[in-house]
Amino acid sequence: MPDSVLEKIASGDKSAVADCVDRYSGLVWSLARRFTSCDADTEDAVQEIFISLWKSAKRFDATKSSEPTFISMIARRRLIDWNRQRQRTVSSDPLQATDAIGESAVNDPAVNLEISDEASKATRLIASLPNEQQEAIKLSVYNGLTHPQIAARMNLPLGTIKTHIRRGLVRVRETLAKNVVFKQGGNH
Amino acid sequence: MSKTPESRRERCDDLLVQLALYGLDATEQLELDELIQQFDVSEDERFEQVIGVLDSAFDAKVNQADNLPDGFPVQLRDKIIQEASQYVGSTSSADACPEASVSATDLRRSHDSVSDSGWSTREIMLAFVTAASLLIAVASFSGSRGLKPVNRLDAPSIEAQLAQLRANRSGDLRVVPWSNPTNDAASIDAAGEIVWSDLEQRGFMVFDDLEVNDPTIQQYQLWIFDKARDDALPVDGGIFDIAERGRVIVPITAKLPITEATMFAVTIEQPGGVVQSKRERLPLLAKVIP
Repeated sequence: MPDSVLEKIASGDKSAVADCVDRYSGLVWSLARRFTSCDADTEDAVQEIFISLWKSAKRFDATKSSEPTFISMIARRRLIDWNRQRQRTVSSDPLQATDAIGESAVNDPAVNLEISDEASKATRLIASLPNEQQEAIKLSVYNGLTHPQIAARMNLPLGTIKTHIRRGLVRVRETLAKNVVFKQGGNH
Repeated sequence: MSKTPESRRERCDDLLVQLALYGLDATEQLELDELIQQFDVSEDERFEQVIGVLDSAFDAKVNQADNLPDGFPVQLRDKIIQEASQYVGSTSSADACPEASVSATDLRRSHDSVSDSGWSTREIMLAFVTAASLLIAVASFSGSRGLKPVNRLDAPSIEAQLAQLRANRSGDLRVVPWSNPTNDAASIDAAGEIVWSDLEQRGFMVFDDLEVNDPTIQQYQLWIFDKARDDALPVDGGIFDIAERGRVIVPITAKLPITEATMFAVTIEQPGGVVQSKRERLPLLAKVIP
């Protein structure tokens, strides 16, 4: 992929660094905000995520995932570790700012045009799920709520919440795989 | 209450979801490891990638280049870019394409440095003297000449620490199976792997059926090859004993910081370890494939 900024970084192209930061700082920042409770922590976490990204760039494989997906995976792993190291829990308060961003991403066709193909498909898939599965997945993935917090918020048993999330994600994963969005090993 | 295969599979998926969303504690990770083995779960069946897709889908600013998000300090952007110089483009021009340069060349160079040419220069001697001094200091401080083997039943905390390291996955976790490059008798039946994180600067050696050693006659010693150092200058990773057959887990104690581990080698040395290995016995090797 000629415009892959991660491949440029993996090959040692320092000029790609600023491009990468500018292109993906929004994604990393919003993810970090879900896992942190103040700006100082968010900034520290973002800094650590980008260091992980520089170290992991050579593992990016465009045949397996898009750049935003790869960066999201690296960021989430680092944030989970970051939180564990600090013995904190994920913020229980959904961030209003990211809520607004998320809704606009899902509903605004103009914005959707800018999202990668796989992400657009994923968005449509989520919208096609039963309402309770949609809600549970959004609260867990997007708002960073734990399963018990989601159960309390939706007034449903914990086991039901786990089932909603599991079934919804399995369906999204299987449908994406059928559409050859996941290209791992060319088996699909 | 008996659990059906279906309910256990659902439990496996629940833990995989939890792993991808929040991480697992050591107990949960152990449970997941067993379930993954039982159901032969493939990478495609995990949830990290689908959640990564959703994360990017939920973020409207993903592809808006040249536009810092609200609240993102300009100073932070500059700092991130400045720090990147330590990690990006630090390799030579010959390594400009890491994917292409890794397999054959690196493997041969790394392996040669152990088995054929490698460790006997004056610089290496100096490096080993330094490593040996540290080793002696550590041994004197602890009152022990080496790391004691830690077995599953004797010290579950080590097992839990290993599980935690696997679960944390800092984005750079290396899990590399051991090979027996010289058909050494000590490792003829041995298997296992090395688990290491450059970011966390810690890791574990996992051995299955490595030959028991008599520490009064000989001990095992680990060497860590670092991309930032000459292959001829491996870092001492500690000496250790194998007290019994079966699974043994040994924590790695690198005596110097490791920038990027590229290979791990276990040699058999005299009691207390050595400052310069003659490579007379090299039972185990683990080459990191980036």
